[in-house]
Amino acid sequence: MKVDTRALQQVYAQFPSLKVNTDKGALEAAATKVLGASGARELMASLQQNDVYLAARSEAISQSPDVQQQQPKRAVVSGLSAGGMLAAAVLAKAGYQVDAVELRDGYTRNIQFSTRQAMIDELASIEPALAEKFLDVAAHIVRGSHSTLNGEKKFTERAAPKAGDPMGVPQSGEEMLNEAPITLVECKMFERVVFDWLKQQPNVTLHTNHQIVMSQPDELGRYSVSMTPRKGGTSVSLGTPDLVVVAEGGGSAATRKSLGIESMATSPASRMVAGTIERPSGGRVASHYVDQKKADGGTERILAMALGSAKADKTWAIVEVPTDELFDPGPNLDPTSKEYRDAQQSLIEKHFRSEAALVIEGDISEAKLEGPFEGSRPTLFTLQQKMSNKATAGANVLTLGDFVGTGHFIVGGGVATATVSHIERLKDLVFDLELGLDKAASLAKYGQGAIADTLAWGRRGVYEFYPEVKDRNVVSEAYVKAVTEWVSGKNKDPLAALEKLLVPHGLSLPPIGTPKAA
Amino acid sequence: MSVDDAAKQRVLKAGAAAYAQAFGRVPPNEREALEHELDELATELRNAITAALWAHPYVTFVDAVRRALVKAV
Repeated sequence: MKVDTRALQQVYAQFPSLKVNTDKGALEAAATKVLGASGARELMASLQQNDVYLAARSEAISQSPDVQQQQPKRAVVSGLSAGGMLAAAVLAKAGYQVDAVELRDGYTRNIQFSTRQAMIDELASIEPALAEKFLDVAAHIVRGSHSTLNGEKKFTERAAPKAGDPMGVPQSGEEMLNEAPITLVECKMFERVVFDWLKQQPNVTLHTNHQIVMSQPDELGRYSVSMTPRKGGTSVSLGTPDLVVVAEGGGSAATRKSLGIESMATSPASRMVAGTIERPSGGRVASHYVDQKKADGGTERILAMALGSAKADKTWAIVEVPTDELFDPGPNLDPTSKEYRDAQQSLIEKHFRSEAALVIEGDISEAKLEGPFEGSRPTLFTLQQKMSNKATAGANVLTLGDFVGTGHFIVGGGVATATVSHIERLKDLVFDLELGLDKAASLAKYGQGAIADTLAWGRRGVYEFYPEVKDRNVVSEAYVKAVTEWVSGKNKDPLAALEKLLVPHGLSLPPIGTPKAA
Repeated sequence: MSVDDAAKQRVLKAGAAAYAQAFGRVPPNEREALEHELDELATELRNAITAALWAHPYVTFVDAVRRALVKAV
């Protein structure tokens, strides 16, 4: 059956968000609006075969010029890590005039992260060239290993990455995280690829070195936005956009406060050091646990993880710090002096080297170290899962990525949740708005979906914080119950609720919900 | 004072001095807001502050910064 490309073009002209959304159900709904029931039936019948559909779709999109609306919808995206950049891309393709605002003036993150096929498929659904560029900078995980406490090693086969399939994108965080990671990429390389591509998009205006300030909502619940230069200066109004996407990361307290969104810890805190070792790993991911004796006679499980893309000359590592480690260089140096801080840094790097070596399985005593950003050194950070009570605010704001909440790095879910699952929710929202559905209801649907995706990430790694509870599923189920009840207002503290649920399963009291005391 | 307590006090003093030197003011009321500020700092200053926060309650750290600021004046 021949495809009526002109009919398809008509649909894309009125529903431009379908240019980044291959969902056939959405296409059918849109076609019914544009072509009527019988026209839609005819079109969908001709598109039954997926390869025919994708070819016709490409042809229709390439032949239909971007419609310049007289009064285009406007969007502001704040925070241009990968999730924010893809949100800007989706909105731009859907015909929005996008102001994309970023605090930094460049991408320097040394972090390496693992990704699933879902991300490649997601990029292909937005722009096939983007998926190809991603595969240029990402590399296959040739060996994934996990060392258990008794020294036993488990190896996991990782499928080779395939060219992006726009129809292969999982529809939820749960579904997406069921896949095993298959590639490794340096964060800055990926971000630079997407940023360079975004620069070429006609209806995106990029504002680096700026941050947004939200107004109080107006009588219709809409937030206005202005942006100010990072180092101070004149504020510029960005008006009252149709949509504001906040993708600022987990720690953006000012924006969170202005939106009235609460964030709470959903796990205890663990102490970590992160950095890079100038030594390639050739495409390996490895994690390692060791039980260490504490000064009080107890034991403590210490986790270390390393990721080394075959396309990077460095390995990224995160290693846990024992709770009784203070990093004090001793009484011979003045604690307020630079000498003390330098000596303290040396102690931190010594610990980092010794734990990272267990994962890298090699002598790294002389290897050069760097921190999470170019020019920095190995850095202490507190790892603690968090969750927001909502992922939308007022009549025009939605939040995305780590701003919604965070899980454990061992899942490899952070970038994926933002760039795949939350972006899929955003596509649904934009399509719902094109269909003329109620905006408040559509935003609420986005919010529920985004929270569910982040919850899927959180529940998969939360057991790492509770080694004394033997059954991982017990921790996971308790986490979902406690956090879901907090989001719906049924408890006031998700972490306290979680730990109460875990007591019958071996969690020792007193609660370890607050950062473990030294 | 035990060896450990003395070490904890040194770590606190080092972190408070690092914060006072970097910002010249009392830290924000919420620990989360402070952690957000650290992104701007050189690693050694940031790590000194984090080590102090790991070893002591937040209010103790804020008091130590106040003392460091008074000495700096």
